[in-house]
Amino acid sequence: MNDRAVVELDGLTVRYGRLTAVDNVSLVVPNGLVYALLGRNGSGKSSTVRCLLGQRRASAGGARIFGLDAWRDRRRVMARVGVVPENPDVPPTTTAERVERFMVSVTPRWNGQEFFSRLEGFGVPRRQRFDRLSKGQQRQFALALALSSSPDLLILDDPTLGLDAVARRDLYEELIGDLADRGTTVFLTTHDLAGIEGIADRVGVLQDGSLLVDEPVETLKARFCRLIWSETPEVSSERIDAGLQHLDVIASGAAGGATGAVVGGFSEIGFGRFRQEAPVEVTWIEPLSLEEIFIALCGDERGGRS
Amino acid sequence: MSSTLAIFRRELVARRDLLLVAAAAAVIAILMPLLPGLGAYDPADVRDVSSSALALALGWGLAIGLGAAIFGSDLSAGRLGFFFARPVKGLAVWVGRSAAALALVFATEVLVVLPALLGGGSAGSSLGVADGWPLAIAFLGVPVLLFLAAHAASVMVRARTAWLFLDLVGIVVAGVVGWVTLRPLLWMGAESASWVIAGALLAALVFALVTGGAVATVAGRCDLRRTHAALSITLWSVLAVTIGAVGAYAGWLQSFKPADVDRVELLSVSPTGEWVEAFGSAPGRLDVRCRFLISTTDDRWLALPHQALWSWKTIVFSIDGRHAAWLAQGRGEEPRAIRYVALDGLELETVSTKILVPPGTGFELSPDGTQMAFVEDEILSVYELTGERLVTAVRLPEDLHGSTMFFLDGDTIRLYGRASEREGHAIRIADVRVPSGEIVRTGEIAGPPDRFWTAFDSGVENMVIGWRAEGPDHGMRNMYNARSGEFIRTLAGGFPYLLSNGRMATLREEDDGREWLIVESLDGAQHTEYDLGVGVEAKLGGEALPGELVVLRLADPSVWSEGRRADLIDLDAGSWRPVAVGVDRVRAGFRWMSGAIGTSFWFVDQPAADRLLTDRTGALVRWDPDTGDLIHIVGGRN
Repeated sequence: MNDRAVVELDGLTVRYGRLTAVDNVSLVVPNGLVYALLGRNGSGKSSTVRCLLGQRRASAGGARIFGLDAWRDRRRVMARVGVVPENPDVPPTTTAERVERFMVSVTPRWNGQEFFSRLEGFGVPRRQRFDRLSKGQQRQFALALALSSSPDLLILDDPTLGLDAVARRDLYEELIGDLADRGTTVFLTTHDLAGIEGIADRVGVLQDGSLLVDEPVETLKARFCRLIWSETPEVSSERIDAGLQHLDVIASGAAGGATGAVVGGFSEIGFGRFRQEAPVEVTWIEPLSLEEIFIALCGDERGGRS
Repeated sequence: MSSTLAIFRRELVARRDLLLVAAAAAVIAILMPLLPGLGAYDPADVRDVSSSALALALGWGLAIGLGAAIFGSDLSAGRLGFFFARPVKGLAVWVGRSAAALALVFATEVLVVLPALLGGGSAGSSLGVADGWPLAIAFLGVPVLLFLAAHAASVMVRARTAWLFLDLVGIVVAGVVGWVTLRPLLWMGAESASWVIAGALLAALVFALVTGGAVATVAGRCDLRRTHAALSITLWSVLAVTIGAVGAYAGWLQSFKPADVDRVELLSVSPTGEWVEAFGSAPGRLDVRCRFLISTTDDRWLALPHQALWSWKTIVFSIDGRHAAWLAQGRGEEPRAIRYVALDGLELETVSTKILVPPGTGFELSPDGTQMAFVEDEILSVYELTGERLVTAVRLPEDLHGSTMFFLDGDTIRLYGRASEREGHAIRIADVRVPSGEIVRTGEIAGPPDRFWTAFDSGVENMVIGWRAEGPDHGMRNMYNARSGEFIRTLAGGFPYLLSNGRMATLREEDDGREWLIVESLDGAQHTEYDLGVGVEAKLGGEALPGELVVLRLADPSVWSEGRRADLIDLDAGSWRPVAVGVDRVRAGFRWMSGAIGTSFWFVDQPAADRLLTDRTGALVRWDPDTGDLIHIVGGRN
């Protein structure tokens, strides 16, 4: 494996009539990385995935996978990609055995044994019609299908949608196992931020079709935190506001004699300047979870104090 | 190819339960003879009918159902991604899935009819589609078309994008263009050409639907709206081009000129013989026959509205030969406008009038072609053609409602009506004075049978009525006074030609095959017989020169292929002179070519018309009495 870009979006734009679903999005996913594309419903995640899968043509810009145009070279690209769609698209009346027979003929790197073994691991019956499987089993079926073609890239479009906690855990465990074994590059979209927190290497956040954030999870988490300090009469609120400017405050508020703020630009230097401007007693610096960061970014569109 | 086969196989397996339905239908068909009430019929016939009907119903129903579901429903449910997330071509998805659906439809049909076939039955026989093309069309062609149409309709309806407007417009335009392309061929009764064009239009539709479906799947992939756009653009573009090509071919089939004509069939000849109304067919134009008005003396011609060879709507000439009129084309039983042309100009310019005539109604022109008359709803109407002014309208009494009529002169119309059965089917004769509208009854003739033939002499003084009857001449021919209906005498021999100078001619064949030409005066006082020979298959060709009659005989009775020879007999001197060899009398579709002519009742001598012949090549030629040459007019196979 090398660091060559596996996924590249270059000014990707998707329009549905007058509605721009994805607006000039550019990002790169290097080899071996787990990239999580986050966003609220309707933010453009699925449109981006459809472009990556070569199932929808970009209105402008483009999507490349392994250096190939995802639309034009879909067939070549798909030979190396495993897909778990947002809604399972396996023909409803078919069974795992029939799907396996079909996949043998159309997927060059297909491993039937692995497929059945994964299904067995999930407890998905191989002779049951797909539409008679539970929602969790359908997701597991789709994941097994995607992984058994030995993909270099796995694209998962909200794979935990509608799954209970146990099913989500199973799915992630399977995914983590595969990553450990093969180092497959993963591009996923999800609303399950807690679930992917320990998996994703890099995240992107889409809002109204535009990419707000595209950075490694670690740096993202490092710059987002919650500061709590004790209120001091000597330090005016104007000074505190001036100090917070060095930390890129997202939200702030007071409760029970303590004041706090969520900042999105935390750094040692910035924090030092904050302390200089506003010499308050900081009682707590709390890192934010990915979910909290997401809510901070997308939850309140006004972005003001609360 | 392997992915196409894989998809094909997958679809077959996924829907194999349909074959169980087919097997159940086959069992139902086998058991049908046991149903109460069907015991009176032959069990084999009942099985044939039920298996064929069930097979077609199931096959067609499945074709529609699968066509609507196999792409449309998967697209709207987002399940087509299963295929597009694999390294398979979009075309493989379209071909594999479509072929599998159609294979299932065909297999279903075969399964249903198989038991009946094994029992000695014949698929479709009881439904009238047992053989060849009808069988293939019913069991193969229709399902394919239904499948493709259902697929297209399903995508259009499910996507409901703005392209639906184009689709609706396309459907209407394609239907209208297709009908406009086919209609003239149907009107002219060109059966082969109609089938070819109808088949080509359907093939164009199938091709457009297949291409549209393929392009839509390849370009639209999992996007229903994009699929709809690709389908609509491709379908209507391809259809426009293919229907355009078929339309151009259909137009070319009908676009030939008299110069292109090889086979010619005459409908009528103008009283002066200067114009003929003819059907012509041209090499490579299938069985398309165009109708022309063609000059026999120069190169002027006019294309007439298409009509079937068997249609009765021939052109009507004025007796002076200077005008011709006909009915415009129209729909169904709607009245049609009269059109006419002046034939004495250098350029033939058709004039459209607003005078409307019901399509089944005959009309007549006055001798100078300035007026026309027709009977509609018991009213005899006379119009001035140029000003389209109603000259007179007369309500006819009941016994003259269905009259045969003609202009005696510019001021008088002669009517021959048929009385009721109670009044013995007498022929009632009356004259209508055009300026006053007065009806003057002039006489009646005791009723002949329902089917009879008439001929008039040139002065419309005498008429002959003939009908089939037992006897030596296979019929009766009575001569009457044409105005009073007074019986004059019964004629011997065949149906006569009434000639100029109070003479008539007829042919008689004896038991030994010897044929005779009989020329006698109308009153029978003068009677001359000419021996024409044995087995000569003689025909009378009319009075090509005043007092001289054309007689055609087999050139060599022992060799039919030698054709006929035409000779001219001087009726006064009794002398013969040759006209030409290898010719025949012109074959008029529905009218006698000489003497007083059928429904139009021309009463002038028409020697020029009687000089028209066909030569060995089938060309229409004119005999020039001055040089003795045969001058080519139209047609002929080189």
